[in-house]
Amino acid sequence: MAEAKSKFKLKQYAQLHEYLVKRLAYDCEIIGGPKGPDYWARTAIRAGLAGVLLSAVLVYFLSGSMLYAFAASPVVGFFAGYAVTTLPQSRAHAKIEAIERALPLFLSHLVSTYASRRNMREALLMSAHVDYGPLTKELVDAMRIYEATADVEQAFYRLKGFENRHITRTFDIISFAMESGVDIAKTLNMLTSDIQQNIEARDDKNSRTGLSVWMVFASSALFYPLFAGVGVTIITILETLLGAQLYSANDKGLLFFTLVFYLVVAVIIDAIYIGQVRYNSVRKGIVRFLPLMLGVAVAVLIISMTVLQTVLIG
Amino acid sequence: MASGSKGRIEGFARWWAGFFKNRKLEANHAMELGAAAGAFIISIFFFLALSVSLGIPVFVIPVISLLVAVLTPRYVRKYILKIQRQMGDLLLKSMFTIGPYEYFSLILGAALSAFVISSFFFLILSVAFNFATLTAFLLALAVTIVSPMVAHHYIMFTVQKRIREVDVNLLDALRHMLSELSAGLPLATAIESIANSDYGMVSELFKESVVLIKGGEDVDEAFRIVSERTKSLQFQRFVATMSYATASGANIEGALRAYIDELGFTQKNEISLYANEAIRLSTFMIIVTGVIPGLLVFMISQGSVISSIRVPVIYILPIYVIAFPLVKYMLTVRLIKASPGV
Repeated sequence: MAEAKSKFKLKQYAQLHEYLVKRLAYDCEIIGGPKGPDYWARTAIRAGLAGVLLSAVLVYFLSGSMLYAFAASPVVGFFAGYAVTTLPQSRAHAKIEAIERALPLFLSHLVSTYASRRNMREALLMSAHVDYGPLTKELVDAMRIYEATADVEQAFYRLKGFENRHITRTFDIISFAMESGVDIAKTLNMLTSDIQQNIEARDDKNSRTGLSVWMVFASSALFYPLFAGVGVTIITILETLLGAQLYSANDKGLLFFTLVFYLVVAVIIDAIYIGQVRYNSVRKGIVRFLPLMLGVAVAVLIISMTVLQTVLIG
Repeated sequence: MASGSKGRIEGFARWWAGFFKNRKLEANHAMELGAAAGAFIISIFFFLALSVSLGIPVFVIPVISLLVAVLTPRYVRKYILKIQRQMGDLLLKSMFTIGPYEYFSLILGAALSAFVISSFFFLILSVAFNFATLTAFLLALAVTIVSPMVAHHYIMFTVQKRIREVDVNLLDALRHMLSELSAGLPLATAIESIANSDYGMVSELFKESVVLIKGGEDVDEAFRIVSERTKSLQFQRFVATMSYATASGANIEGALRAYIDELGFTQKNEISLYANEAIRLSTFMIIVTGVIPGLLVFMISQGSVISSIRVPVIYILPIYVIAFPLVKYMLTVRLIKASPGV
């Protein structure tokens, strides 16, 4: 019986591991390097398990309630595991962004070489010697594949799969020129100026919305948890000073649950909101901001409650 | 994102449509049933509120609500038909493969799911924090009323994304087309090349125009017909530019280049307008869903001592669990709708 149970547990672990490996494979493929999806999947599972254990102990010691410890530990464990899975995703996004930012300079060099030689292959080989950050390595690898196979689609398959509109379109046009021999100097010039303008417009938008975005971040991850923590603690302090119960223990439990529920929901929606404003992507908001915001919000809530209680009540 | 959301919506909508069809519920009946259910729920709330102030006996409330629910479908039938027509047109133009029946099935399905899940959630809370089961049931009803609206917004948001997808891909597709025209390739070949490329909905629209051109239609007429399949204003303007250039014998390449420049400028402008909208909505977001919830906690905690106002915690629950998250959700959806997609 015990053996069957442990087998079942291992199967669940294997399924979760397999799911995570599949989910992270794309991002790890973009990042490259020795840490593959298997490493991240294992780390995420370990972080999740550690989160479950630590939060169960911490919540039990802070609240004294076994029910709260049981209720909070799976949630904390889930978010701890999730936070680890966002790391490769964030790195992949950062790499794609760096490649996108290098495109205007790369295209300017490419167009100037292409205009003088009228040969896309040579223009690409020459441009691959310049340092464009992560783009250079990708370019060198792509040209290596092209030299070995003479297959344009295969060579730029990886770059086209980066799910970035500018990168995909750039290498679509370059592939088209290499396959058909059509002169694309004017088109590349237009594309360069378009990408440059889009990046500038986005930077302008980000600089204008920067303060608002940080205020949204602060309102749900800093001010609200601070007010909620202090507010709940003040009830206890007032009750101690007055020597009477303002709210029943049941009401205080419900109030605390309501405030924490809203804290989590608010942080999730605000992370989506910030992702939409800054990156025009809901997913990026969840990946880049949710773990940080949730961590800060929970820390502020716990600190505001414990510090105030310790200082004023002892 | 958009295609994923589209697939999800279509999958859920078909599932719910199948669910209602298996129970021999016709499209109009399903919609009228939804209206009746909505009217029943709203009238229960309304008459419950009245019963407190006017002293109406509680047992009368379900009877009156039932009467309202029976009468409502007669009056809303015309309105439902109008929505059915509008949504059918919108879904078709966004290349959705579901119709108005599936749309209404999804809305009803969302309401039913929300009712089941929220009932479960609030009942657990009522047991854990010892409050009345009726209160838990009323809170679940509140979520049920809100859920069709949220589902409708989600569908509209995905439809909007599909329209934006055309706007965003159009610039790249036209640039591709221009490079082929500049290389001396004929217009029909350039159009076919876009149709066979990966420009999302733009390629789909070009594919349809290729079919029409091969069937004997003129290029401008084929595009005019196809433009009726999308809500994208940019695509419709492109078709108008093309039609004018081909009909007047003007240089198509030149017209296309001018239009590409204009489109690039428009996209840049849209980003700027989006930034303004984001700042405006962020201010609302901070005040309504950040500052007010925070201050409310102080009101609850100190009001009981300073001004002897003790707000029952059960009144706070719907505000924090339903109202504030709903406001946040609405503001976020509004922001996403305003997004230029670039």
